[in-house]
Amino acid sequence: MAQSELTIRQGEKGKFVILQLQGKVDSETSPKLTEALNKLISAGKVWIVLDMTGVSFMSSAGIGATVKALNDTRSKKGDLRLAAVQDEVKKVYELLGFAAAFSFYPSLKQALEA
Amino acid sequence: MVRTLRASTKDIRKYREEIKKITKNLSYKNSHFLVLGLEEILTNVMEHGYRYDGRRKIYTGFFYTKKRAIIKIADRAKPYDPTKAKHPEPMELLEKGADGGYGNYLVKKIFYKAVYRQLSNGNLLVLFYID
Repeated sequence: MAQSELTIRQGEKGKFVILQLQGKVDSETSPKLTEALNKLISAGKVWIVLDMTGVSFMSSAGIGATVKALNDTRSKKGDLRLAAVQDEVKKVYELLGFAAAFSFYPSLKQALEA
Repeated sequence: MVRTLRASTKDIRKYREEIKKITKNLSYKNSHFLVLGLEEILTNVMEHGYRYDGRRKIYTGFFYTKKRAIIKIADRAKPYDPTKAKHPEPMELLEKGADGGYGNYLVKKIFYKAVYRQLSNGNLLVLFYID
């Protein structure tokens, strides 16, 4: 992962689309995440789970991508759920005061079953 | 550690890895916050000051102990004092679904103090971090 340090794999389970992220979400890679999310939401897929097990770093650019998607999915009666977020990444959401605004789940399984 | 960076995301990434490496003996939280805070500041300069013009340079100094750090960042962009800039609160941005504008707030939360000085040919920002 030299050039772009983020890979996104897509899957589906029931009404949810799962985006499994691997790598770092920063100013360089966040457009890739934004594009993937926009594509889903435009297609009417508004129940999205981000599996963030493999995300070791997220800057404000990544946070911005998730905020926009949260707003877009909820305005269309869906949701953006964040699963298996590493502590240091979650701390960034907390610093911004977003801990209660997002739905965090300890695992992908729990995000899908809630 | 003193480094000169070009205004490119590639250089930010390299610098981030370098800071991560030299702060590996600090607590994970301190290392992570320093890396994150620097990422935000440098992105800001590169994006707004230099428009990612890879010919432009940023001069950095990073000095640290186990629980404190001082970072100096100088550029030759037009004068801009980030310590006086007014930004919307994150919750306001969240309610609007804004995809940007969070970086400055993060920097304010991460660093204990920021001091700005306008130079004859650019800007100098000194950031203080305390665990």
